[in-house]
Amino acid sequence: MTDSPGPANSPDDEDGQAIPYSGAPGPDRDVPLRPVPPGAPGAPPPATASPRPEPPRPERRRRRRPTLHPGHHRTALERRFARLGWMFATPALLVVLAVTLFPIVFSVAMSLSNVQVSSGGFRLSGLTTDNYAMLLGSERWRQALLFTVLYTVGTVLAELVLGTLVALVLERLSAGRGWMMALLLLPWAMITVVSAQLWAYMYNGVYGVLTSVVEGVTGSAPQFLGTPGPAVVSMAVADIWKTTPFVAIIVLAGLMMLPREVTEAARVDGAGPWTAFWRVRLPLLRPALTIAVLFRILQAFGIFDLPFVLTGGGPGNATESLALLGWQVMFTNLDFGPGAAVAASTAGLVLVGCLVFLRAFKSRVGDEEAGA
Amino acid sequence: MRARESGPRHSALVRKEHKEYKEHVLGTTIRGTRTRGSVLCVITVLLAAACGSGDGSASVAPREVGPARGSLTWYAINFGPDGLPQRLVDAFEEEHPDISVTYQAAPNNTDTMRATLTTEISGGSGAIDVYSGDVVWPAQFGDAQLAMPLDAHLPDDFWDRFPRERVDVTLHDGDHLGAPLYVDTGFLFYRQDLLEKHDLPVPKTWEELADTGEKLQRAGDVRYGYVAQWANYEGLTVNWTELSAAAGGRSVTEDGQAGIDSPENRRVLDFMRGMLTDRVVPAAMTSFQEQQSLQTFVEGDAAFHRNWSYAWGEANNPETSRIAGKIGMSPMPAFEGEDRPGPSGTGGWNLMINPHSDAIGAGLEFIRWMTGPTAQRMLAENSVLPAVSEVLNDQELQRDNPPLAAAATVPLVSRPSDSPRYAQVSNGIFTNINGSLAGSVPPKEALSAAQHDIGKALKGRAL
Repeated sequence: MTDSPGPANSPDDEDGQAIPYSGAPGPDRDVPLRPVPPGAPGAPPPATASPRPEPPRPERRRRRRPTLHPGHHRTALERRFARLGWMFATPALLVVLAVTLFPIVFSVAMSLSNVQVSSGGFRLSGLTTDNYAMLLGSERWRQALLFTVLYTVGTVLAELVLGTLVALVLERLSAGRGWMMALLLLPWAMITVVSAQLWAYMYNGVYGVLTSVVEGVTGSAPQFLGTPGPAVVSMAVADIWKTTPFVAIIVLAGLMMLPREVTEAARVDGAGPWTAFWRVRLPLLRPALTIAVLFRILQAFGIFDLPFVLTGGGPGNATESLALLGWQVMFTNLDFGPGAAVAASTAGLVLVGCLVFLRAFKSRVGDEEAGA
Repeated sequence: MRARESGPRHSALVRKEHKEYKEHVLGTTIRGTRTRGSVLCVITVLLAAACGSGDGSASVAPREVGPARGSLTWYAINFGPDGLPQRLVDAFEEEHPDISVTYQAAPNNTDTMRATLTTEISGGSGAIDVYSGDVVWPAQFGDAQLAMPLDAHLPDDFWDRFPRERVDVTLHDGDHLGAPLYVDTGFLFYRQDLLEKHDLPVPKTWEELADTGEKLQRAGDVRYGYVAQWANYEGLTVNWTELSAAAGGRSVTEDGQAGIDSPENRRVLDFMRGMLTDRVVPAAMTSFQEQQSLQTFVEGDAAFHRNWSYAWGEANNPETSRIAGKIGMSPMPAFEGEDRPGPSGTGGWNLMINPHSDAIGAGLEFIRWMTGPTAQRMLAENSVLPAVSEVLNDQELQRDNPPLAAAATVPLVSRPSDSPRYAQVSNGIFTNINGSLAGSVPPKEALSAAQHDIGKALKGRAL
């Protein structure tokens, strides 16, 4: 009981673990292992706390040096190398600029001006915040925001729990793990529009398989997509079915990288299987979980295909996501200014959301500079 | 990449230096991109401002349209039996050796097609010369200058070949933006065999329809009395417009104000909800589009069905339908106390011209021919409703084509698509009505919310 704050809060465990994500994957593989053994043999938490302050320090110093003294170590050779590097990278950078940065900047510019479509193309005039004011004043946008946030939180949480469970089972499997993984990945590999169509058949209010199964059990036909509450849940189920395997694979990779000694040491110290998992392995898994959650948040927040196929945002606007709203405002209403504002604000919100999430995880990903 | 490959071969010291070097470059990269990013931002805004120097009109002077020859691309959602668009194109090319036409199939979803057209045309592309446009698009497309006004290029009497209701919906600011190619109309389909079995008449009012449906349900002949399209999409606006008009209501008044919150419409919404609570319609109908309602009907599970004319052919096809040969069709019912029959919603597609086209001359010839007797007869013979009065009223053709005969006589009602903000107006209609049908909002609140949303939409203040 008393050592509970140790493993959960000791920042250094995660600090060491997290490094793989900030650097190149190859050479860092042994880095996460390094901090663990010292913590493992004794009582894991307190033991790790004292020796740890040492290792991170050189790490940080090394990182900061280039930014503190930018010009100092530049030799002629290095400068030539740099120029050469830039030369090689220029064509790729130009492509990236053209296909990524330009559209982003353009759509932000659109969201901040009066846009008119005309035969001469888009006409942007003036600098205005009208488009954003329109969003804030719109009940439809607030509803879409609420739905998207709740939907993201709900599905990501469910996927995290289920994915971790699946990964734990997969880790135990000795025979047929490859087959199981291939099977599991099928939903993930399927194009969402296609799988959404399959779900639409199953949810069909008259002839759906699920409808008749539930009707057979309860005696009355359920309404999967025709009423607001169940529509949200039905859509979340389709999403969880599809993306749990993704979370499971990432968590499984994290599990495989955990050194066995840690669990064994915990066992030796008298921890039961549950304590060993909850207090030792799960904290060590945090970097893998962080990555899985980040990817999932980014994707879930931009959910478009499921509501597009399953409900069209209905009933009413109960399942209208921000992405669906943005698309409709842009391409159905041909309101490009407000549509761009929906898109830009959605991107901004998800960025903020991810940063908040990383903060909540105490920036364990290790890249403090990027976070600041 | 290079640095890492050579890494293992160097001593630890060299490796450390390498790492520093790498990080150093990385630092430069980040800072560099930031400056460059802001420069680019400015450039983009300037560029964007420069882009918008168009003259702001989609009209093209008649002498600039070019000769009626060359090649053109026609972009349209597939319609009619397999390959009908291509057969029309082949017939056109046979009569016009100087013009070659490529038929390009559009995605079978009106909104997706609109998105494609908007990106293409507002981007200045002339890759599509002629396209089929939904009947509710002209005002919006005219406002966004995505379609060329046709009046300067076609004789005034050109428009006389169409029924007036079909032509008027192509007008925006006094210009015709499209020529009707084929039309569609909502009908009531019913199970003739069951009505005969119980010796019941075809219902003339909605109340009668609900009663008859319930009777057939109780007799165990069908699971549902009535199926239609009440999902959260444009199709609900069509269904709503028909029902509302049958009770004497409107969603937008004649002077362009929101008018949905009226006693007539309250009666309609209460009636629709009553059908749901009495289980005359399936509870899942709030998620039904054309496909789901037609499926329920052809499976023999519903007594009455509202759909477009194509449902006639589908329901009479023994390969896909259990009720082939057992059905009849009639105009839509009215509400009790209304002396006129219930009107049918209008649908269909117009031919429109991309103002950036290089083959406008050929495109105009294509429009003339496609709205002429040869092409329109081909449509009628392939169970597509023709847009031209002469073919629509042809007794000979009507004899073995019940939808054609019915379409020639039914009264029509159009959705309020004469506003460029129609998409938002329609959204205000269908989300609120659908929400109320799904039980989340009581009818009174739903109608006043719809009134508010439509009012905002018409003023251009709605998302």
